[in-house]
Amino acid sequence: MEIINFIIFIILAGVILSSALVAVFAQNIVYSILGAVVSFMSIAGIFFTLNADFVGIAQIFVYGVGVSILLAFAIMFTAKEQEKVLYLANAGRIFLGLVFVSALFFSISCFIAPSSIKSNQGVFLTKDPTVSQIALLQNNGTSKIIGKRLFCDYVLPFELLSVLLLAGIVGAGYLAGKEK
Amino acid sequence: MFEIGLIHYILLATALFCIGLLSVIVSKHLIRVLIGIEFMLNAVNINLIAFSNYLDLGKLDGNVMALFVMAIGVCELALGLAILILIFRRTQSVNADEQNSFRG
Repeated sequence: MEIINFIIFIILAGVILSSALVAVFAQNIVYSILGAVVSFMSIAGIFFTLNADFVGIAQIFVYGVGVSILLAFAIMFTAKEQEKVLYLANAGRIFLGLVFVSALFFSISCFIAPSSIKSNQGVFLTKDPTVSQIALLQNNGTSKIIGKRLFCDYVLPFELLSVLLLAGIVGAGYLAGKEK
Repeated sequence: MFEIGLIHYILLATALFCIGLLSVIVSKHLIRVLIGIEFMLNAVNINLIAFSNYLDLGKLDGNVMALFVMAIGVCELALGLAILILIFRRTQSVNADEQNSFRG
């Protein structure tokens, strides 16, 4: 059972990271958006392996469908330039970016490296979810608990978020719909 | 050896965050910059869900926070694409290096 989880995690992580690299370094912008959508879908798979089914389905709805359609329309509106001109920045900036990003990655990795995968050791004092908790979440689903949390404890951020979404819709429509 | 723990998910999220940051730094196309920002937000979501699974399973605070982050990220993407279309209409270009003046 452990090795099945391991194999699934490795496959999902490989798909996420490779398609994200495709999204960054692809020559054509359409391939770039395709790689981004594949990466978002695989992130939904990672959410499913972490017992978060509601957030995983929301990820598929929001990112796999909505964001991809939004990005596709955006490149249809702006698909006039040759993609080769807009490919990457100059070599100095690429070198600087690679150095900076790899330094960030290795510093974070060295910080969390002492934390073992065993529980209650290292930097993060974690406790693994018990079998009964996992069975409860996988049988009942997480949406009931999330709904209770969202409308009891987090109701003020929820309402503020609805105001933010309204402002976003109005602002985007005003900005993009205005003819000069 | 073949045991999956919290550290694997944190490493995955770190790598995804770094790829998003690389995309923001390196690319010249404005849509790629926005995709990089979305990658960074998704890495944050992976971290939130992983800590929610390994620290407070049953209360699901991290899942609620991930839903908030997701909504804010999509709102930001919609506004960014609206600004991109406005920039393209004004300057006929989506090159990030040429946009140094919004006064037209």
